[in-house]
Amino acid sequence: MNTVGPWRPEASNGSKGRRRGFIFRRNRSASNDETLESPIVLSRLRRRVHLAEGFVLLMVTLLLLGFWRIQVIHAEHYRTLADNNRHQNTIVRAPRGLVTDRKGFLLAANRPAFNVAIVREELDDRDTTLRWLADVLNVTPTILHKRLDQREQGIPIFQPVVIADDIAPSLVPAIEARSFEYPGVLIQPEHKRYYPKGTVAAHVMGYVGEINAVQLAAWERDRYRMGDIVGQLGLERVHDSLLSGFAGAEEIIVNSAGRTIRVLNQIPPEPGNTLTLTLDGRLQEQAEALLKGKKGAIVMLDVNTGGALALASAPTFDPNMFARRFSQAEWNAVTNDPAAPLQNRALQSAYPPGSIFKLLVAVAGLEAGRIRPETTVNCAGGGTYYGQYRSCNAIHGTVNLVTAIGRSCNVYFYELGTKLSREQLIEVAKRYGLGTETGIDLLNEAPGILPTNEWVAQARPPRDGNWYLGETIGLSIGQGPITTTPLQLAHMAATLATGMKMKPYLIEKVESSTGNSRSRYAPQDRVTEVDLHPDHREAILAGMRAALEPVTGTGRRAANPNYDFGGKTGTAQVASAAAAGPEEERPEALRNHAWFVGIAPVEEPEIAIAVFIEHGVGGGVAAAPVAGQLMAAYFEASEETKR
Amino acid sequence: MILFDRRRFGAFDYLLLFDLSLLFGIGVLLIASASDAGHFQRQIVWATTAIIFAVVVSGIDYRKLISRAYELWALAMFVLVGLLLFGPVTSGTRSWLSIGNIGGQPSELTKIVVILALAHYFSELDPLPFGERRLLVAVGLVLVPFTLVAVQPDLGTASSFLPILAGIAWVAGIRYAAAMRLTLASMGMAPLGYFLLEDYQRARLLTFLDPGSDPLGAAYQIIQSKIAVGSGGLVGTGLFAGSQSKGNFLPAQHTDLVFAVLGEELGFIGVTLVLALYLVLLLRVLQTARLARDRAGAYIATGVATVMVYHLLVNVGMVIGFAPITGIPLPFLSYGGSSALTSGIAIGLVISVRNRRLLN
Repeated sequence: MNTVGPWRPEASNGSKGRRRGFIFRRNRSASNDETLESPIVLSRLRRRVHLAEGFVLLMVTLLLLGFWRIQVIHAEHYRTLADNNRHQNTIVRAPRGLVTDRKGFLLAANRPAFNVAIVREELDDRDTTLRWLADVLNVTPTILHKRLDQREQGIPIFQPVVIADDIAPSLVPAIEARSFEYPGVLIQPEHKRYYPKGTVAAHVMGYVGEINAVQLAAWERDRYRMGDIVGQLGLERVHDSLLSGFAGAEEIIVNSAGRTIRVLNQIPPEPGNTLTLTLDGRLQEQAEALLKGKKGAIVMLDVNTGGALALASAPTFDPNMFARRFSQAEWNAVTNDPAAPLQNRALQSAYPPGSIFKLLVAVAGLEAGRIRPETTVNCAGGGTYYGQYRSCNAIHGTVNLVTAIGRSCNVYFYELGTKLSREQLIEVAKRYGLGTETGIDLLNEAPGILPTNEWVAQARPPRDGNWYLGETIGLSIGQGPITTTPLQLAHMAATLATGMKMKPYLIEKVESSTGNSRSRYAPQDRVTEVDLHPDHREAILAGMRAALEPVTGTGRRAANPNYDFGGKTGTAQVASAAAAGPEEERPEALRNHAWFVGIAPVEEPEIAIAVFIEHGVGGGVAAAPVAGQLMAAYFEASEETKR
Repeated sequence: MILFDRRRFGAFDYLLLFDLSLLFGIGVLLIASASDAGHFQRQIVWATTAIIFAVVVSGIDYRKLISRAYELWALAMFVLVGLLLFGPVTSGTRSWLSIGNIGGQPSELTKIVVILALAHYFSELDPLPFGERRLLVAVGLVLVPFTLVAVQPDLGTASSFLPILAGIAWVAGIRYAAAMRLTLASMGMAPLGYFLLEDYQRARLLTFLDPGSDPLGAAYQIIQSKIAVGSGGLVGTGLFAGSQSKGNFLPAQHTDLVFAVLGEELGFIGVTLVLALYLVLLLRVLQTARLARDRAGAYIATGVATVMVYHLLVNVGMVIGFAPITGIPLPFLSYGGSSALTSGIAIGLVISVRNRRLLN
């Protein structure tokens, strides 16, 4: 083999130092004598190997320095990073507070729900697993594929992606039993908002939904986070800070897949407060039943506190729909419905009050000294004011204030209107809460319109604030540029009933999870003086009682032989009779709105009510019987409890 | 050949065998800590087999292997081509050959064949300083297996053939000027090589240069491996107690990143100890190169030393961010049969060279 190069054994005794090993001195120096190579070749080879040995030593030393730097000098830094790797703080969401009516019946609660999620990293085969799941859930595999494709965007493969929401609890064991066969399929329990009575008090309760970007930016920074379920409408929205509670935290040790290995530390969540409402669930339910098939609203207030006993709006919706992931079609059905079921007609829409306003015109006349309760006017069925003939609903003959209210005589108030200024009417209207929000715990309350100077200047710029005196005559019977909400009119009736203006409210009691309870409002903060003279109050209440008298009273259909009810009807013109023809023959959209406000018992008032029926034609026909039934229901129930 | 020849028996390199066994033992412990019982048991079998192979191969006269080196090379290339044409695809590459229950990566064993072929080629040259022209055949001996393994694709293993040529050519007496020119030329080729890389390989290279760039993507391994090593500190968390490996934060922790487990669980002291064992082993192999009775033996030892130094530097360097992630195993410590057996055979060859330094 080694045919090349001369073999010169005599030249092989080189220096010992070079022959010896780099670190091993045990080797026999004689070994070289037996090699087959020439000394020149050998010495070159050895020199080069020595250099290689130096290179190896250098490199290993460099590696060691590298480890020294990381493991000794920066050990603390990397230890912290390792801790951060493993320690993870997870949020434990707080259960949302419960909501009950004044008697403790649940209006909003939470129920357990189950979602099916997929951890893609752990899937054996996406297709097989989804086909099996589709079979269990009784849907087509295409749907699950589509959902997974949509929802997996931007989510790391080791994190679960929900592909089926709120499945039937009976399916849960069927899925969990085969979790070993189909890895990567996860059941995620969660709490969902639940309204046990469905549509009852839907407009008051509102609904919940996932927090959106705008809310996230605007609300308390450290309290809300992505994915939180928060109130989106109604009380759920207004009192979200009372209801949502405070999330807890869990410090856990996780592995690289994010799976919990051990729980280190737990801060339990603080559940939301339990809210007790002023509403009476039974009255609320009856009020909604009375509105069924109609468009309108009913508000019943406790006149001594301002607490709302019933606050109904029709048509209504089921807030449970919003608690689950609803389809676009369902959402469109609710939001695009021309009947606007989400609209709270009790306070979010204002309508002309019609003859209801006569109550305040009477107060204005009495206070201005233009009339006294016994002042009489002769009603001949109409009259000409400022050049325009205005009719009455009948020929009443001689009427005083009480009978004028009771029969809703227009002429009496036309005459009074000639003696009062717009400013005087507006001052009284404002004092009794019209033209401004009542301040109840709900959003988007309509303030209504009053023909104030500002309104006149703004609404009629071409004529620069022109107001015809004839318009004051119309205003005296509640026609013209004046609108009110049902809540405002119930509030007004309650104020007339007691002479004390109590701010309406909905939350009776706030009870924390630790059992501390407090009232939401101190009564002294809610009351405003209206300086209603007792004689004046007596005259107004007598008029309201007269309105329920048989035969002559316009509100007689609200009367109940067992109880001392009082009230006032109102019919708000939508279109003039001249333009639209007889009421009954008009299309619904042109029919007049029907109003009724009531108080009971007149002798010592407890409740005030306002009923509004959109396009209900006549207050006496459409609204009064509804109010009568609900007021009777109130007293029947309270007698039941007394017994 | 007489196995118990007095001189041969007396000269048997127990130190190398002991060092090798110690490294295999530490590897088995780390795999037990970083992985499951199955891997642990299989590694015990492979480590034991590798040590037996080392002893058996040391009994074979390396000169017989050298004389058949080209035939062995041709056989290896034949197997690699066959693998490319008919091999099954495992983990995206055609690198796996199995006969019955026994399987392995022929590319690992090809390293030995390349060492033998190069040792044969250079030992047949005039023992004079040489330049590029003499390298031509040697480059061919390396580039063919390099290409065949690179297209499997397994660039990590393929890349380990190149240093063998460099190491043996260096010891065989390449002129300094030629060595310099070739070094510069290969540096000039680097950008060209970059274009030949797959996307993920480029990403690895870029994150090696800037680990902060993509902490959850390609840089994940570098970051997690450094965290593991750094959090081990001076004395480590203790065997079986590493949180990075127990939490599975380390990818490939029983194979390519086994050294990170060592760093985390046994600390700087453990790292120093194991690096010392590698140093002793490498210097012993290089000493064998100096003591060999013929050039072929010296070149075999050099080739073995080179391939091991390369693996050590790239693999351990990768653990602390000194080298890009390449996915090449650490000899003796990483889990894997092919790597273990190849290492055993390589050391066996070196012992064979050393044993025969006294014979004629």
